[in-house]
Amino acid sequence: MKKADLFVGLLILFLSTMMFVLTQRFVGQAYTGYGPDRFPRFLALVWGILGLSLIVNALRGRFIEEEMRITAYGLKRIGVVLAITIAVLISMQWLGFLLASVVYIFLIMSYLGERGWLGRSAASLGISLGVYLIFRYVMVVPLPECCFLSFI
Amino acid sequence: MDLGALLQGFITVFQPYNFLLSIFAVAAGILVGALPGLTATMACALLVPVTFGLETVPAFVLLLGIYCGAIYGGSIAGILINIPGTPSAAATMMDGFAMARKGEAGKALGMACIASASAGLISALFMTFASPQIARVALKFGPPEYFGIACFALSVLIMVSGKSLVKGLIAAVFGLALTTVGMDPNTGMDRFTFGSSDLLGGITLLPAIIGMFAYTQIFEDVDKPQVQTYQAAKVGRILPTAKELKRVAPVILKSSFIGSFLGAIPGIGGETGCFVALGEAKRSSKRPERFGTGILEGVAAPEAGNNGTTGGAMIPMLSLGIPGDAVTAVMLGGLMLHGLTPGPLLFKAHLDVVYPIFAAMILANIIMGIMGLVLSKHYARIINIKKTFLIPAILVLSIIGSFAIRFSFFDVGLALAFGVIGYFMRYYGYPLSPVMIALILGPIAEQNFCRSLMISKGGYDIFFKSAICDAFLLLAAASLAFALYQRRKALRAGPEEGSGEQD
Repeated sequence: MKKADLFVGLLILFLSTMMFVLTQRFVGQAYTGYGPDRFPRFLALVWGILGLSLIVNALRGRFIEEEMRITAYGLKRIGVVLAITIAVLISMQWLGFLLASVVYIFLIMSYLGERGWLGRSAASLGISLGVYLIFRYVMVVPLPECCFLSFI
Repeated sequence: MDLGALLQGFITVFQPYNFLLSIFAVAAGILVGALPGLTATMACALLVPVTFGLETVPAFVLLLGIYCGAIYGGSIAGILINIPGTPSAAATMMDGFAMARKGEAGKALGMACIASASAGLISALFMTFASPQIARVALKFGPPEYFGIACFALSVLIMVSGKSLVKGLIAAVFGLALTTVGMDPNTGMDRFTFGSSDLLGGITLLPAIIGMFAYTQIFEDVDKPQVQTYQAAKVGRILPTAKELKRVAPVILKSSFIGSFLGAIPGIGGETGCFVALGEAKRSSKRPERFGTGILEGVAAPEAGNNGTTGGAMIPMLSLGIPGDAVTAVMLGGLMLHGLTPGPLLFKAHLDVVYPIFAAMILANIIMGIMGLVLSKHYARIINIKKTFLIPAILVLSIIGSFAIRFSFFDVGLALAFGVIGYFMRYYGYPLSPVMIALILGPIAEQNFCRSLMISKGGYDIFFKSAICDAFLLLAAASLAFALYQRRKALRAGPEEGSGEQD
């Protein structure tokens, strides 16, 4: 966890410096003398100090060993799920929510190791249809519709 | 307290539609809580968008049922498979699982249910009687007082969050920093929007909550080599004997009051309530060494402690607009989405909503008690539901939930980003609750700070003229100092190289 604390400490230092620098652009000021830069600047300072103390603690050997560890394998799996999600979100604008979510659930289930066409098909159709009907017709949320349907 | 309004509240929640909704919500809540990894916060966050199409009262009947049910449901997984269904059930599983190993899983489930329902009921009554009184006092509060309360809530939140004070603080400041995105409340100037019109209104609360609590959990489940399934212990007799109930009743009563009181302090959730109640039960027991070996008191105390916080946590949320814990932070978001502003004015302008909320909470706990005792055996089976079916369903709900707020794909992306951040934060030991609660408390603190300065025409002495504001600021400083003192004490007690507490 030492390396992680050092890395996070440095990241926070960088982010807080960026935040502080960006506050210089907030030039307006209310008649109270309290400008839009004050609160973010204060937070940037506190965050920077905390980042620094994280680094100092890590260097002095004061850190907590966490029980869980991130593995390359785990990150890869999350990356795949994220990639599928982003791809489906992009295609949702053309495919519409219903079709995209059927494909999405089927793909995710397959990736997680679920076998059996019937189970996967039934679950992806059932869940998608259930969620679609509730949100589209009960909650009246304007969900993205399949653009190809407009040509029919 | 207006008894007529309370009666009207009961009439409202006993209408067939609301009553059935409450039964459904409690059942769903217990189910969610019983499934390891699904929390009350996550369930409520996913359900808030579902409540869009509902009236405010049914929406809260649904959310409160889920909340109460899930907090109890967490104990089912803890008792049967030694994995807490929700974080607040962590203390229950020590004695609960020990009882299950002795073949008394049913009795442990029964005791958990009785303790949860009794504590939930006591805390709901506490909420019903205390909230209007606090709201009446809060009507006299001005911006400096609210600023003081927000500071106090933040300091308590930091004090109780996680193993490391520094990491708790970093998480809270991160949450506060996020609140600076969007238009400045004072001058209207945009901050950190980078030209994006989607960010002008600030970080939308619900996608952030869905990201932090739903996506983070999903990512944690996905990163394992095999998506886990569990084998639950066999459930036998559910009801404890009358003699056992008589023996445990004082423990339940005391723990319920501890939970209710702790819950009412902003920032303290069920996790703290259950451990404090268990600690007190142990301390006052004649045979404390028996705790952890599988005794009913060891199940009753933490369960009453964590369910006791449910009503307590609603008190600051409803009467002050300050969330008591992460779930009430979500509910606060829900109230705002329904066009209501939580706080003392709610008790002036919307009694038709407030009292049904009280009644719904009381009803949810009664339903939970009955349902828990009758259906415990069946709930034990749902632990075996495959996560390969659950994960995609939650993912789709998360997408649609974050989309439905503003019909915006930007919010879906925001939720995903928060999910990734939350995943790394959790792995590296940064608590998530401070981020979320800071997201709510940040604007309250800054807006009231600005308003105070406007009243005083720029003079900072306004914060020292109000005794209430001073008291809260002093309390905030004291709780931070106490947290620092505790960490120092822990360090002096013997830090091990490479594994000591941070300070």
